[in-house]
Amino acid sequence: MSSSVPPPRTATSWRVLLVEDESMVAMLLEDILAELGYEIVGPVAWVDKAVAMARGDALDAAILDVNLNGQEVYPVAEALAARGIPFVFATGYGHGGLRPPYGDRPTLPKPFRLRDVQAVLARLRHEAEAGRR
Amino acid sequence: MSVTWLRQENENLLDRLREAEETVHAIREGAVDAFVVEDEAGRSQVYTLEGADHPYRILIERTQQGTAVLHGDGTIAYSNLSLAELLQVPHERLTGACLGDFIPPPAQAAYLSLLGQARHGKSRGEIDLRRSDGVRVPVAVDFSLLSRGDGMIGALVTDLTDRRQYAELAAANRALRESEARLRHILDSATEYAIISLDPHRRVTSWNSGAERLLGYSQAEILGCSGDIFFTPGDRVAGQPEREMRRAREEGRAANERWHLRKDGSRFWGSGVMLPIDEEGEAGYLKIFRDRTAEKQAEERQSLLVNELNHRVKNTLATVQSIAAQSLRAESGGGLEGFESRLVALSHAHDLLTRSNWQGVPLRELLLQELEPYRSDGCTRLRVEGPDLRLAPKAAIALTMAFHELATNAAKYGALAEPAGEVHVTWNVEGDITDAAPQMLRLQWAETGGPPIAPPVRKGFGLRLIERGLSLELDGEVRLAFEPPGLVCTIAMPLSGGKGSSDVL
Repeated sequence: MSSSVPPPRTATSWRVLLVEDESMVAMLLEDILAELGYEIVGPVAWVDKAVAMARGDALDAAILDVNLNGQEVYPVAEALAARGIPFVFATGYGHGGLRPPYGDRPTLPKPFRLRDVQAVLARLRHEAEAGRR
Repeated sequence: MSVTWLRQENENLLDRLREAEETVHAIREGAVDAFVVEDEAGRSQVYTLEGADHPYRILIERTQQGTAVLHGDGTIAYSNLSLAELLQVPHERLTGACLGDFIPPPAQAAYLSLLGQARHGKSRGEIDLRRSDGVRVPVAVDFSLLSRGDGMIGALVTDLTDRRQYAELAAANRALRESEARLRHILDSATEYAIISLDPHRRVTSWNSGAERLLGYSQAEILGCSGDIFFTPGDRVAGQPEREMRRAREEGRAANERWHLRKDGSRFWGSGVMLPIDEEGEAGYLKIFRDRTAEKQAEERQSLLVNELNHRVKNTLATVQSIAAQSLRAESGGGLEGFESRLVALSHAHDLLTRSNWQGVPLRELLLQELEPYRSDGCTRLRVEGPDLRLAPKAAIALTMAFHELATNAAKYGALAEPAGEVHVTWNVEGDITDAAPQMLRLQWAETGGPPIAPPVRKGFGLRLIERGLSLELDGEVRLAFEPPGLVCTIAMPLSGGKGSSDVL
């Protein structure tokens, strides 16, 4: 799986918050992110904890599962948006499952493909750098 | 033809008939008893009925009854204008004509019989006359011998057309009333359906009991009011009432599927149609619908469930993806065999959830299922002790996978690898359900009698899942101690009132 997609080593030092409430899915994403050279913050499975981290931790991007133990992840998205930190939704619901104003945010469909995770994070990074310039 | 029109017409007819009846009655009762006859020279001659003392010239001239004085053979000696009008013949041509010429053949026998009787006194009957234009006119004739001397006969001819028409109309009216009552009964019996008619300005013109039941307005208070008030404010602003009527007019029917507003402000999902009563919609519109709130909610629930199912399937696929990655990539993952056994454990967890209708799985049952493969020898080296407890779906899946890893590990390296080894799983619940703080589940997996163990140099999927996964997912603490006499795993996690992961039975 990893041999076909060379990890972008330029990703080093990018800190990605991982918000996911299912441990096995979280472990999978941890491994994928590690393979792609990202630094992982979390994983965290609870909205209140994730909001606190989104407000205070040093972060460059975030991957957000939409439903966390029956609670929606949007407060976390709000906190990230307030700080201008880019994020992507990981969801089994697909695009139609996202609430306004997040309908046009990038999504990572479950199950994941390494190349999709790589592409969406690269897109977030590109946007963030374009915004900074 | 509207009922209102018919009623008005009937009223008019009734008045006219009453007038005619009065006259006929008057004649029959003898209130009219003389005829004034003008002869050819213009001289007036008065013929009186028997017993009459006074001439009633004015009455005769003015009466609407056809009146004539006949010779014994039916030749007309005198007639008034009314008779000429009745027969549609110029008045001057009547004198000298024979009344029998205006009787159609089928009525001749009756006419001649009546005339014959009159030559001896009086006769009356109903026969048909034939007007000069051929139209038959039903009449009542009343013959009276005026004088025995010259055998002159007085004839009163009453047009019965009005009365016939009245009778026909009355019959039609009765039929209409009956069918209207029948329809009304049907409409009112259809209490499941609101059946409403609206005029082209969308004002309510009729209202059945189903509409009253569904919408809360009585017929008395709603008639004449705008039918727009059943629409939600949002639909009204969006122009839905106009759109619905326009579509009904243009397309012959319009679906009426929307939330409706009751008088008390509550809402229901009304489902039905609007139809124009006539093609142009000038006669108004019919609106028929019923309350399908329950069905609507069931549909929405189903759509929600399908969506939720998709979400769960996708999550499960991601879980399987994770199991595959961990099993097949890492050296300690167990390869394909490890993958299969984990998949089976996951499947068992789903079986338990399905059996409990996703409401919560008993912890004991979950443990026994996962340890089942190691109980086959019937010995007592597995002990499971603790209060009854139900786990929420997510916690049940996470713990199933954790126990699977613990059991697999024990069978390979721990207590279950030795015949003398034992596994002892105990748990208890701390705190009270009424406390503000959540109850805590404390569970211990303790192995004894296995081979000597040491902490693994590299933690494989199983240990990683137990240590980090459980603490992440269950918001709890997990400790693994690799010490003689064997592995001890302790789990502390909040139950109900905490993050809602589980509760005590």
